[in-house]
Amino acid sequence: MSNAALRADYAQAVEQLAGRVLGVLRDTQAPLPAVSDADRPADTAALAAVRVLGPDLFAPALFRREPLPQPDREALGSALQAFPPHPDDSAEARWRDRTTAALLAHGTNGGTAVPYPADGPGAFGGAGGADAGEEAEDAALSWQERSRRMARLAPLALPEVDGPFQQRACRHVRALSRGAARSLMRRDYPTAARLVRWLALARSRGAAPALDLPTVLDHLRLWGGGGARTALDLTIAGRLLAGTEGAPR
Amino acid sequence: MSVQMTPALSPVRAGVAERAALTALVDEPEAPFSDAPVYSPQGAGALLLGLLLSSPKLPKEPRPS
Repeated sequence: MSNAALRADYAQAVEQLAGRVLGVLRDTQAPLPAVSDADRPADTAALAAVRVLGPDLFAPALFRREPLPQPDREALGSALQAFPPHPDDSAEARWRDRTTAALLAHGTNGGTAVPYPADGPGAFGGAGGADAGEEAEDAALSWQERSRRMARLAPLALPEVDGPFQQRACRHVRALSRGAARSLMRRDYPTAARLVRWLALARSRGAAPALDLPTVLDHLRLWGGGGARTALDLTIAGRLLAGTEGAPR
Repeated sequence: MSVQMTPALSPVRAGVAERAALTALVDEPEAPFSDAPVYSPQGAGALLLGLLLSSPKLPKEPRPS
């Protein structure tokens, strides 16, 4: 299989999985888990999808303040075995892995073993804090750079998850608002949806974004395309804004 | 997602190509192009000309027959 075909295969699997998580998230009466036993992944594309969505798999459980179902934990463990963290991973990928691992460990009693480096910036453990060098690097980011970085970290914008990026989202709402407006003007709706998700999280935690978020959400729902991944970002943003069951702080 | 997997089975580790495909999806960049509408003076001129040409004309007096 060519690289392009492989990527298309993975992208399709990601869309399928995002659609299923979205279905559980939208229908609050649907029983858990988001990734059911019948759909437990077996092929590499499905495992890649689990790996790509990462923390997003926890969204329905987090909104309901329930632990992640065991089949989902096993799927994540298998995905981390097939695609273990790599030293060449980007900083954003490492933070996503770190959050996934922290969520996976949260509330478990000797759950699935996850292969994760014991040291380094991507060490397994709590959401944790950033070191001084990373804080200094972050402080020097322009609003465009910050928006690009935060868009790639959008799966971290979840209720009940706290760490340096959640705090930075609250501190830099103006930069993220400008980034979201820029993405809207560029008609880059997936990026706009990711930034709006961060802004919704910041607003749920007391910050005041410089955008009319409900209006932007409506616009993105109408024009954002039919991608399940973007729809998942928008639904999570809407849930955060609505302050529905299990909304954070 | 069609085949079940027992927890005892360990999946095979992905190769270089698989990892590259995964990384591309995880680190998805913003859209590389912008098709946002831009200001176009020529377009504005054409629009004004079109409006002038298509503006309603005064009704003419009917000719006495």
